Order: sequence, then C-alpha cells, then structure tokens
Amino acid sequence: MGTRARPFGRIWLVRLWLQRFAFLLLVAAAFALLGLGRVDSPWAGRLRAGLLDAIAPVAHGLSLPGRAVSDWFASVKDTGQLQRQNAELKAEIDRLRLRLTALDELARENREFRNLLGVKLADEGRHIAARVIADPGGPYVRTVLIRAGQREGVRKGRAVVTAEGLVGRVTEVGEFTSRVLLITDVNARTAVLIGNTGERAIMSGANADLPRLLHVARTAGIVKGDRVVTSGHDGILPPGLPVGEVAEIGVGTVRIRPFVDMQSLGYVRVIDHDMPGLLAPPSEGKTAERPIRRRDRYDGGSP
Amino acid sequence: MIAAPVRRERWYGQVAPIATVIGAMLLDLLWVPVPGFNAVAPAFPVMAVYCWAIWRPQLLPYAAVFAAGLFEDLVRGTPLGTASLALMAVQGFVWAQQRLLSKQTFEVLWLGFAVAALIACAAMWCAVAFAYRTPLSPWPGVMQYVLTVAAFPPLAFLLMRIERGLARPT
Repeated sequence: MGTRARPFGRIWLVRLWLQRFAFLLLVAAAFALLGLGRVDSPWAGRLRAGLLDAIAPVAHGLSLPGRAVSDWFASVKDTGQLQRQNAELKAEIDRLRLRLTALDELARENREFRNLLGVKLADEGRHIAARVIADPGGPYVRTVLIRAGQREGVRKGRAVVTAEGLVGRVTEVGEFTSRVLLITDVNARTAVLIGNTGERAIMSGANADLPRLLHVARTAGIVKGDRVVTSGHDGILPPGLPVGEVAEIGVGTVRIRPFVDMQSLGYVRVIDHDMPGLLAPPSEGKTAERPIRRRDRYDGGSP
Repeated sequence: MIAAPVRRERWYGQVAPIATVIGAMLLDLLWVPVPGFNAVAPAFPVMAVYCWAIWRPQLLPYAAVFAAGLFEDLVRGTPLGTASLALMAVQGFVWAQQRLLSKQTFEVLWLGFAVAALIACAAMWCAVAFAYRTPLSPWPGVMQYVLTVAAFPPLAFLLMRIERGLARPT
C-alpha cells in the first residue's frame, strides 16, 4: 500500500497545484480582457451580434409576462380616468388646431424663403420602429435590446428616439436584434446645444437618472428648464433631436433631465440618417445598400 | 479490502451545474414592470455558482465558470471579464471555505452566501472601475447586493431540489 500511495499523493499534489495555477491564470485572463475591453475587435463584435440574435427569443419571451402586467395596470388606470382624459383631450385638440394653422403658415413662409435663398435641407432619414424586448444591463450598464436589426436596416451608431426625444444610439447590430446604449450610460457622449444660450456642450451619462454636461464654456446664461437638443457636431447623431431640459445647476456642473423616461420604454424608432461627409463603415456596406421595404418604414403613426 | 463505491454522475448530472448557471443568467433577462428594478435585479448566477461550488465542486471547474462569465458579459453588454471575475471570486471563496460551508444548516449557508455575494459585488464594481478607468457610484451595486441576499432562499431551495434529484439512486 505504501509504495502505491506515493504516486497517487504526487498526482493529487500536481492536480491541486494545477487547479490553483488555473485559477490565477483565469483571473489574470479576466483582467487582461478588462484592460483590452476598449479595443473594438471585429471578432468580439461578431460574437456579440450573433449572441444577441440567439438570446432574443428568450429575452422576448421573458419580457411578455411583465409587459402583460404593465399593460393591464395601464388599461385599468386609463379606464378610471376616461372621462377626465376625454375632456382634456378635447381641449388639447382645440389648442393644437390653432397651433397647426399657425405652423402651416410658418411652413409655407419657410418654403418660400428657402426657395428664394436656394437652401437645400439634409435628408431627414428613415424611421424604423422597434419594440424594446429586454433591459439586461445591470447596475453599471444602461442598455436595452430592441427587436430590429440588419434585416430591418438598422446600422451601428444610429440615433434611437421616441416621440418625447432621444433615447440613445445603436452600439451592436444582429440580424434581427440590436443593442441600444442609453444616453444615461456612463459611456454615452452626446454633442448638444443648450436652448436659449445656444451654448455647445458634451452631455455625458453618469449611470444615474440625470446625465451631466461636460466642457461647457459659460454656465452664466443657463437657467433651469432650458431645452437641450442634439447639435450634430459629433458627426453621429442628427442635429435638432430633443434631449431634455436643464434640471440642476451647481458649481461647474449642469445636470439634464431627459425628456424620455428610460425606465418605461415600450416602442422606439431608429433614425436611419447618414451624416453628411461621413463614409459608411466598410463592414456594413452590404446592409447600407439593402433597400428598406415599405412596410418596415415608420410612417409617423403608432407602431 | 472492500473498495469504496465510486460515484459516477450521469450525463445530465454532469451538465446540471453549468446548465443552471446559464439558466440563471437568462433569468436575469426577465423584465419586471417596476421602474428601476431591472438595473438592480438579483444576481441569480452568483447564487447558482455558490450552491454548486459547495455541493458539486468537481462539476464546476474554473474554466467553465470563466466561460459562463464571458457569456453573461456578452448578454449584458458589460466589459468582457467583469462577470468572470465576480463569479470566480465566489468560487474561490467557497473553495477556500469548503470545510466550513459543507453540510451546514440553511442559516449558515445563507450567511456564507451574504459574504460570497458581497465579494462578488465588490469584484464587479472593481472590474467595471478598472475597465472604464473611473470609479462609478457603488449604490446600484449595494442595492443589487441587498436584493440578491434577500432572493437567495427560493433559488437555493430550487437548486437543492435539483441536487437531491441528481443524487437519488436509479
């Protein structure tokens, strides 16, 4: 027994040593991946895109019970408020009719002036409607998955909006699913204009409800409630998209309250908008050439 | 001399630990209609790794946990390596305290999990801060930690049923 026990003991020791070595090696590998995380490698992009499509049916299925409960509560709430809402909507229609008449007049005037000056407006882009199917980020990442991908004409970097304003931009695109980085994420940077002052700034997410402004030259003229829109200077997002309003002004810090409630996103629209002077990424050439079917286009109605 | 019976796992017994870890990761995708909840939802994979590392450590090798962590990062969109580091920290803690944690009452198991989840949350916060080169607010992580510890009993009960099912002789 004694002569046989020794080799087994040695093997056990080697196995133990290998296990500890493997643990340290894998911890080192995790740190290496974290360090290299900012390198945008094509294989990681393809892997992420493929995985998005693979988990999309599961994510969609898991979102259905929650959505059903949410829709039911919303319908119960709406039923209780029908009479009051009806009166409010009628008053709103009257107000909007008056504004529409004024806007029609302004639009006509605008057209005439543009014709006189020979101004050509940039293409406003197509809108692709998509449903939000999951919110998988966790405590340190603010992203959502949407049910639209290359097949529908979604491309990386495109702006994502709702009727209220900017939601974020597309960061990963699968065949029929995409990931959207919300403007509240710590990695999100948006070039913006501050309403009344016309001051340019970069809005940065802070993993909190209120993103903050970076690189603001003058904060003197900025007041609470100032409207913030995209400036288009980042060369990624189209100009003029409503983003939010100034919510807090501190010493050297300005915080923005987004118009969109990021915690109750249902449907969103992806704006397929080419920024002038920018070339499409070579890997997405095929997608860029693919025509978008008429039924895929968002025509302004409810999705 | 009578040889001790060698316990050989059936194929589903061998894949059960890693399958439940992956299942727990997909469970994280469950959409709950409570504002702000999805950002701090309980970390189910941490619970699965903790339980299996105690009950069947031989079926949950480091490499499998590392790969499962990469899968979670790809699903969540977190920097690659974040979840791997957090899950391996839990596994390392359990293996270091194996004698203390095995064959204990549920209360001790839960207390051990509170420590393991704290290590996982701290590892995740450090990993994200390292990847982004900036420290983020730890409060969402603290909130997730509280919910994770609170949600441990039902999932541990479910995993315990699976483990006992696998242990039953055929």
